[in-house]
Amino acid sequence: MSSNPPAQSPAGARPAVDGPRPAAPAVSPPPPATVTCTIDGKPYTFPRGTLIVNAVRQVGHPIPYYCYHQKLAPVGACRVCMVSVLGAPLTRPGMGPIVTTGCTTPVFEGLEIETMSEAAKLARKQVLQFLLINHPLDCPVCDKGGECDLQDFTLGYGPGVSEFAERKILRRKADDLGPFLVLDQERCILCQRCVRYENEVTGEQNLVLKERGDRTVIDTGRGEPYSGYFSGNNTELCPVGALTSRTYRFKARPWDVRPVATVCQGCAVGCNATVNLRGDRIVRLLLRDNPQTDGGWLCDRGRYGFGHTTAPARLDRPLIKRNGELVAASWEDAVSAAAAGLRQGAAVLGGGRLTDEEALLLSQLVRVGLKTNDVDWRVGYQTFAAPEAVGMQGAQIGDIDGADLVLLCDTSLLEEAPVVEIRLRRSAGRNTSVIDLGPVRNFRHGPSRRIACAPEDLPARIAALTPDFQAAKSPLIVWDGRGGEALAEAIRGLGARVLVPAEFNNARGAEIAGLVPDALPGYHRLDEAAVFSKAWGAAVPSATGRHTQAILAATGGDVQALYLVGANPLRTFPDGALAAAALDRVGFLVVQDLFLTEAAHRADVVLPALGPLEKEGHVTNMSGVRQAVRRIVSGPSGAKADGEIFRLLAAALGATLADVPAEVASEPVRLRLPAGSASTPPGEGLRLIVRPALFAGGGTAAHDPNFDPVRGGTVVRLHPEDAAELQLAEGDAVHLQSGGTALRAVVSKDGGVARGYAVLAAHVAGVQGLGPRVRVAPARAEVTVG
Amino acid sequence: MIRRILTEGIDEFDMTRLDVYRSRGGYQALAKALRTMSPDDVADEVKTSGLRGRGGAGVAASFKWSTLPADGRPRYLILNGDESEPGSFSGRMLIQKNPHMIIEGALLSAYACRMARVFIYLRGEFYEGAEIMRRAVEEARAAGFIGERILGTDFSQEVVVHRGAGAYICGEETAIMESLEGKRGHPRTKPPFPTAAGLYGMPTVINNVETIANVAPIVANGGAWFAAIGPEKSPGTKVCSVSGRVRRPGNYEIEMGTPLRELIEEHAGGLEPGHELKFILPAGASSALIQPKNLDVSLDYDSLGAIRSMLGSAGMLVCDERDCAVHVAYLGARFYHHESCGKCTPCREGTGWTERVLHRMEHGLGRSGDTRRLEELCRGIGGRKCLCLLGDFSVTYLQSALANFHDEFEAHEHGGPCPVTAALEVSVR
Amino acid sequence: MAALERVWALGRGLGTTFGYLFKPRTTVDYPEKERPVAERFRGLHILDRHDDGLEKCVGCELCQAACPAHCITVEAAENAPDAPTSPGERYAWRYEIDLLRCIFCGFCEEACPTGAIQLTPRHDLIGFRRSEFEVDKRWLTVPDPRRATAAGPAASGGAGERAPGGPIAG
Repeated sequence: MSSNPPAQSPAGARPAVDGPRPAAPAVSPPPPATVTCTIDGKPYTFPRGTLIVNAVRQVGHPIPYYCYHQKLAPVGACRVCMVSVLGAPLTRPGMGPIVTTGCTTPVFEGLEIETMSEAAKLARKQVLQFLLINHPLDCPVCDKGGECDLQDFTLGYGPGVSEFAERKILRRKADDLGPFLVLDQERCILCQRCVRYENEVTGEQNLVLKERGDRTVIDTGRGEPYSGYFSGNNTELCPVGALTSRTYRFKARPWDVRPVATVCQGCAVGCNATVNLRGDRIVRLLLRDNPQTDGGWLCDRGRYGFGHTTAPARLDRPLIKRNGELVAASWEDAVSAAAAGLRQGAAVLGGGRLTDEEALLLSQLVRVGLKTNDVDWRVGYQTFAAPEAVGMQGAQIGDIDGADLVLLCDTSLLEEAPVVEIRLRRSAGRNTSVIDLGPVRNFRHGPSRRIACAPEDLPARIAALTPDFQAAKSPLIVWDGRGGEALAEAIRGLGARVLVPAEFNNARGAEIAGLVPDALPGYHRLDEAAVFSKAWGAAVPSATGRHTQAILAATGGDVQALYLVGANPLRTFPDGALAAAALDRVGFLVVQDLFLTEAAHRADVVLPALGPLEKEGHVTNMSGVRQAVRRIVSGPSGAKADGEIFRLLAAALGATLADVPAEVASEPVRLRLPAGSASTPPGEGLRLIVRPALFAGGGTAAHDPNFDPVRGGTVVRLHPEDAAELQLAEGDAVHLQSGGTALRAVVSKDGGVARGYAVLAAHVAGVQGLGPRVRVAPARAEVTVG
Repeated sequence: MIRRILTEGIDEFDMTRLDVYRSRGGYQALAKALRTMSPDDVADEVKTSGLRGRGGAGVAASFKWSTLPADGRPRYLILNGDESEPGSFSGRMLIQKNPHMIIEGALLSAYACRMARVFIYLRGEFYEGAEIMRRAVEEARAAGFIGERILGTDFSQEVVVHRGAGAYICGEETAIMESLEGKRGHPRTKPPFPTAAGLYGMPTVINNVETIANVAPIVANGGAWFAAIGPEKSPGTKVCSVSGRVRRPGNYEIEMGTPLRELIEEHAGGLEPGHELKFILPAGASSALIQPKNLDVSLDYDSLGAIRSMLGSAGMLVCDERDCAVHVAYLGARFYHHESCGKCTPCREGTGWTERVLHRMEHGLGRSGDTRRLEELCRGIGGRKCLCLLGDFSVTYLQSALANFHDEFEAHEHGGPCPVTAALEVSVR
Repeated sequence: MAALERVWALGRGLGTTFGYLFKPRTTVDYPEKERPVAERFRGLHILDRHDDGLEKCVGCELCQAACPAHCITVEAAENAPDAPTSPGERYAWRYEIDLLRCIFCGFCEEACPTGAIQLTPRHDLIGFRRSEFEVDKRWLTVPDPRRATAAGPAASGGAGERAPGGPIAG
C-alpha cells in the first residue's frame, strides 16, 4: 500500500509538504536512480521521482495543467493533467489502464503512459467544462486574455460547448488587493498557486482560501490590504486573470508587447527580468529565471520600478544657477560651466549607480581630468562593497541555499536585497539556522535566533559566536557594511564567507572601477599610478585621496568644488548636518542626477542623466556577478548617459578618456575602513537608528509614481513599551526633536525594535539631519486624541 | 440473542463516569495488557480478532497497524470521531455514552503500536460529545490511566481531544491530519499514505472511534472470542443507525451478518403501517441504495459489497413510497454541495452544478434533458477523478437512484409539482 | 472627297452623342444623390453605443489584432466606477483608424465581441490632407442618444452628425 515513493518535487523545488515531513526511510538496497517507462508507446528513461507531468513535457508531448507549477510543490487540485496509466501498483494485473493526474504521480519502472487516450481526453474535457461553469468568460476585458492558460487549454482540450445552463456564482471583481494587485474572484479557478506561493516561498500567507466548496474564494486573511514585497509574482503564477497587476491594468495585450531581456537595477541583487514594451513605453516586467541571482522571483520594487522612465519630474535639460535661480541651459554652456568650476580643487562623490563602464570612465576623469584621488562612491552608511577588498571571503547569493548557519549582522535582507531574503526564508525552514543580530529584528518570516544588541556591541557579540561558527559546516555572514573596522575585524575572526547587500545598485562596480580614494581601478595600489599614467596617456596622481567624510569636512577649504554623480548626501550620508554644511560651504557644486534632488537644488550646474533601463553597459551585483544591461527606453530627450557626460566634461577639461583599461599585475590593495564608533551616544531620549526601507528612498524609487501608494509618510518605529511609556498609539503624529532640528513622523509600534530605540527609514528627506538621540513628542494634542 | 459489546450497559448506567465504567470491568483490559502482555501481544490479539475498520472502507485494523514503518520516528494515532455522514449517529452515541471504552481502546492501540500520542478528533458540531470526552480524559488522567507511567508501568501516553470546525471532509483521513495541524481541512494527495507520512509528516494510524472502542473488549476477552462473533470475514458487532420511515429509529448494535430485514422490521419496528419500503440508503448518503428485493442481505462488509452497495458507517436511511427519489437525491446533492471542500475541480464545481439541476427539478422547473445531464455529471465527477474518495461518494447514491428510479427523474423534467408525491393522497411536505 | 468623308465622320460622331440624349441616364448627381449600395457593403466604420448611451467598445484590442492592414490602434483604460464610459471595467480611451491603410475587409467587425465596431454603407472617403484620414474616437463614435435627447433635436442619421475635423466635414 505504501510501497510507492512519496511524490517528489523536481530538483530545486521544495519537498512535497510545508509541514515537517521528513524524507522517506532509507531502504536497502538503494533503488536505481533512473526508471524506464513508456509514453505514448515509446520508451523513455527518467530520474526516479520525476512526475508524470514533467516526464511528458520533457519528451515534448503537450499536457495541460493549472495547479502544478515547477516552482511549487504539487497539490493535485485542478485535475486537468489527466493521463491514462497502466502498471502495478497503480493498476492491478488484468485491469485496464486508469486515468490519473500526472502532477501527483511519479513515474516508475514499467509504467505505460498514454497522454491522448480517449479516457484521458474525456476526463480533461469534463474537468475543463467544470472549471468554466462559474468563470465569467469576460476575456475581452481581462488582462490575461491572450496569455491565459484557461483560454489555451479550453481551446486545446476543452468541450466546444458547455452543457451548463444554470446561473453562475457572482463574486467580487476588480478589487484592489493592496497597492499592486487586482483580484477578480470570479475568474479564479482555485488552483491555489498563489496560496501555495505565499505558504511555500514567501511564508507570508498574505493570500488564503476562504469559504468552502464552490463558494471558495482567494482573499487576504481578514480582508486587509495585501502587504508584502513580493506580491507581483502572484500575477505571473496565476494561470488565469484572477490576480493581475495594478500598473499593467489594461495597458496592453500580450500580442502588442515586445519582450526585451534585461537586469533589474533596483538593488544590487541583479535579478533578471524581461521588460515588455508597448511601442516605446514599458508596460511591465516579468520574471526571467537566473538561479545565480534571483532564483526565479522578483520583488515589487524591481517589478514595478520602471515609473522613473516616464516620471514627469525627470530632468530633461541642463540647468545653470544664475542669480540664485536654476535656469535651463544648453549642454555646451552647462558642460563648460561645470568644467570651469571643477578645474580647481575638485572632489567627486557618488558613482554607485553607474554602469561598470561609466564608473571606469569617471575614475579616469577624476584622475586625469580633475587630477585628484579625492573620489568616493560611499556616500551612505556602506563602507565597502566587495568583501575581498577588506580581507574577507566573499560569498555567492546562491550559497545561502546550502549554508547551515547564517548570521544577519544588523542587516535586513528584506529591505536591502529582498529576493535574497526569499532564499533565506526557504532554507531557514529546513536546515539553516539563522542568527538575527542587532538592535532591530531583521528576519521576521522564519525561525531565527534573535540577539538584540546595540550597534557598538556588535563586535563583542560576534566574537562570542565563534563556537557556533566553528561547529558549522558552511556558515555565512550577511553584513551590509555598516559600521567600521572593529566590526570588520570581528567578522574576519569568524572566518566565514560574507555576503554584502549594497546600498547602491552598482556599488561593487564602482569600487572595482576605483571610485575610492585609496585604490586605482582593479583595486590597484596608488603606487601603480605610473602604469596607469602610461595606459591612459596622462599623469595619474599617486597621493592617497580623501574619503567622503574628509571631503565633506574639507569643503570650503581645499575642496573648492564638488561633483556629485548620482549622489545626494543630504539624504544618504549618516552625518546629515555635515553634509548640509558641506554643500552650503562648497564654492562650486555640480550635480548629475535624474531628478532635482535636494542636493541639485543647491547646485551651480545640474546635468540631467539617463537612468536604469535607459543605457547600455554592465552592472556588477552584490556577489560580483557581472551582467549586461540594455537601453530599453530612450528616457528624456535632453538627458545624456553618464558616460557621455564624463566624456564631454573630460573634453572640456582638456583630457581624453582612454577606452582600454590598464593591465597591471600587482597585489590588490586592502581598502581602509573607518574606525567606527565604539561608544553609546550620550544624552537624553531614544536612540535614533536609521535603517534601509525598500520603498522609502533609493535612487529612482523615491521619485517613481508607481510607488506613490506604498511610500507613505515618515514612519518612526518604536518598541510597544516605549510607545506606551510615551503614551503614543499606532499612527500618532509625533515630532522627533534632536538638538535644533525636528522631524514630523508617524508612530508605528514594532516589537522587533529593541527597547530604547527609534528607527527611521534611510534615504528619506530630513532623517539624516537628526542627531544620534531624539526626543519623541506628540505633534499636536488634538492629533493624538483624534 | 442480541450480543452487545459496545453499547452494553449504556442505557442503564452512566458510563461516562469513570467509577461506573470501572465497576463494570472498565480499564481491566488496559491493566491486563500493560502488566501481562507485550505490545506485540496486544497487536496479535487484534489481528486474531479480525476486527475491521468501522468507518466505511472496512479495512482490517491490524493491517493499518502492521504497515507502520519501524524507523524510530514518532507515531501518532488519530481517532476519527468526525461522524458527518447523513443518517449516521452511532459514533456520537458512543462518544457521549461510552467515552471511557473509546479511551481505553485508544490506550491499548497506542500501546500495541507504540504511539507517541493519541488524538481524538471530534466533529465540530459535537459540542456535548467533546465536553463529555474531555471530562472523561481528565477523569482518566486523574485516575492514572493517562499520562506518565500509567498504572505504575513504563508505559506513558497522552491523549488530546480536538474538536474540528465542522466539515464533512475532515472525516477523510488526510484532511483530518491537515485539520489537526491547524490548516484548512483539505485532503492530501496519496501516496504518501498516512502510515508512511501522516500527521506532522510522521507515521500515523487513523481509526474510527467505533473500531477503537472494540479493542478493549478484544484484549479483555481475547481475539478468538471476538472472531467467533458473526461471519468469519466480518467478525464482531456493528452499531447501526436507523432513521427515516421506521417506527423506532435509533441506534441498534447487531451482530455482523444479521439480515437487514431483521434490523428494519424487528429492531427498528418496521415501517409505519400501510406504507411500503421503497429503498434504503445503507451508508448515509454515500452508498448505492438497496432495493426492497435485497432486504434479506446480511449486514456485513462482503455481503453488501456483493450487491454493489456498502455497509460503510451503517447509517440506514429508510424511505417508503412517499419519498420521491428526486427529493432524496436533491437532499443528498445539497449536502454534498455544502460539504465539498473545494480543493479539486470535479467535486467543487460538479456538486454545485448537480445541486442546481436537482433544485430546479425539485422545485418544478425541470427541463428536458436534465436526467441525461445528471447522468453525465455523475460520470464527470465520479470514476476516481477527484483527489479524495468523497468525490466518488457524492455520485454513488445519485447514480444508483438514477438507475433505479429513472422514470421518476424523467417525470420531473417537465416542470410542475412532483408527479410522484402528487399521486399520493397524503402530501409529505 | 476627303472633305466629305470628314463631314460624314463628324456627323456620325455627333449622331452617337445625340443618340445618348434619348437613352436612360447611367450617372447620378453625386453627392446630391447617391446610388444604393449592396446590403452587405463594407464602408466607413462607426463605434456603436448601447441604448443607455454607454459605448459598446470595451477596448479589448481584438480588432487591432485581427486587422490585416494594421490600421487600428486601441488603448484601454479603467472606467471610473461612478462615471463609466462603457459597461464593465474597461473602455478604450484611444481608438484610431488610419482609413488610408484600411482595406475594408470587415475583420474588425467580425472580431469584435461586443458589436462595437461596425462597417456602415457609407463610402465617401474624401479629404485634403493625410491627417484627415487618421480618425479617432470622436469621429468614429456615434452620438450619445441621451445627450441628443437632452439637447432637444433628435439625432438624425447618426453618421452625418459626426464631429467636425473628419474627412467629410462640412
